[in-house]
Amino acid sequence: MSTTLLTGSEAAAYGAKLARIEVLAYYPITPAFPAMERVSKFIDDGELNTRFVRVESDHSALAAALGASLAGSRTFTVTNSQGLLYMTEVVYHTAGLRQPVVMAVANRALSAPHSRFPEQGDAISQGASGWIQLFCENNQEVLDNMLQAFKIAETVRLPVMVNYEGYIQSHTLEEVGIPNQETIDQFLPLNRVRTLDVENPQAVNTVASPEFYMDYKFHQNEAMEQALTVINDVAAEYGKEFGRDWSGLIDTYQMEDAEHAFVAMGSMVSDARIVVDELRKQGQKVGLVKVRAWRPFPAEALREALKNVQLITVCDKNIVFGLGGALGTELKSALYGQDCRVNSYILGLGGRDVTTEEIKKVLELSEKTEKQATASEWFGL
Amino acid sequence: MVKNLPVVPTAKAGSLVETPTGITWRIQYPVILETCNMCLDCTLFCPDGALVQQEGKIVLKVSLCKGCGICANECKENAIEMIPEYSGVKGVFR
Repeated sequence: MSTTLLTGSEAAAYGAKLARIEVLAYYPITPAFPAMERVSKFIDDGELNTRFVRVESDHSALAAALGASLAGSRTFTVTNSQGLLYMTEVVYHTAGLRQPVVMAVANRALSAPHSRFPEQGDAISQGASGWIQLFCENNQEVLDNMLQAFKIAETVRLPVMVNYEGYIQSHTLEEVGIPNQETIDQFLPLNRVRTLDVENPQAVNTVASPEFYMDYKFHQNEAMEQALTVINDVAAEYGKEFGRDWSGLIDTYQMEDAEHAFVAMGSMVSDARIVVDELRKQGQKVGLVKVRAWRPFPAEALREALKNVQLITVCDKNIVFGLGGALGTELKSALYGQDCRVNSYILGLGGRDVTTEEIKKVLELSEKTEKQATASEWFGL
Repeated sequence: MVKNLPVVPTAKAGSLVETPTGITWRIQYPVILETCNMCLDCTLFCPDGALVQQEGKIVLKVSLCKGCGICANECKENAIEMIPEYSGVKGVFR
């Protein structure tokens, strides 16, 4: 293994290279662009034997990736925000057709008003689409999750999004360990399934009458439930092989005797680790629960991790209008009947900075709040 | 009981031809008149492949026709007439 300085985008590109992707279909968008730029350089330098399909829109990018995947190739694409919304129709197609496409998403706020800054609203908008969604806390996890994503996808036959925040992760250099190609080849053998086969022609995505549609959806959801186990297994196998165990669906930090838990996903998690360390030094029993897999939603794992905690502070870099923060809302639903107070906060929308100071203030505010609010509170206005 | 289905929603190639859907609800169908000059435009415009050339004539594959009338609309010679499937106040099938 070698260690080098990489941005989140480059980490995603190295992940794609180590996975030996066969097709890259891409349409340019900021801040996802550098990932594709790096992959196309690998191709140009002859380091990667990949067909790069240049298309006229994000919708076509995923459509091309879907077609390539149906033909049996290991396929990758990158996008964010408006691009993800534009390809939404095919996002659902890819999941319904059970294709193991992996997509890196450099999370960016959604228009209107126009914004190029980080936020998780784009990924959240696809929460019902049937894609597995992993969130990364740092650039090392971007690379490691990319490799695990292909393994998970090809095991349960579902597509996977690898989410990292625009700029905060996509454009920031961090030290990243790159595993050897040989060991990755052993960890990630290509599990090829061809649907488009000239020897055995089939009609793909034909009309499913009411007699069949619901059964197809049942099987699709069953695969999502299967992923709850597979994500844990793959993380454990990866951890054993490469020494970095990201702990499956969720990760816990200082939770053994914690009375107050901070729950979040994405880049906030790495900041929260520092805050937890500081508060622990002051004698406060604070812990951290990181949601690594948002889809499938790890309800059971969260109930178990938070069963002895009285106060939970959950933060969302997204807003589901008229409802609240996505993670906060779903966490409350998962913890129904458990004896605890959940304070849900919305912060950091459209690139508003969330540093260790903000996280400390949120935790203080949550401690002082005596009654649990039904909705999510806005922090940092 | 949940049905056992293929992982990828697929069907046998040609299954849409074997189990046509239009025939149960079509309200009109095309009739090719003698003024047809065999330009074959209708065979290209038909979205369901219901019009084909056979032995020097345009022939309608009735089971595939949904009665949309695109062929009649596109015919430059006005050589296609759409005829109702039902006639009379009681809606008697022709």
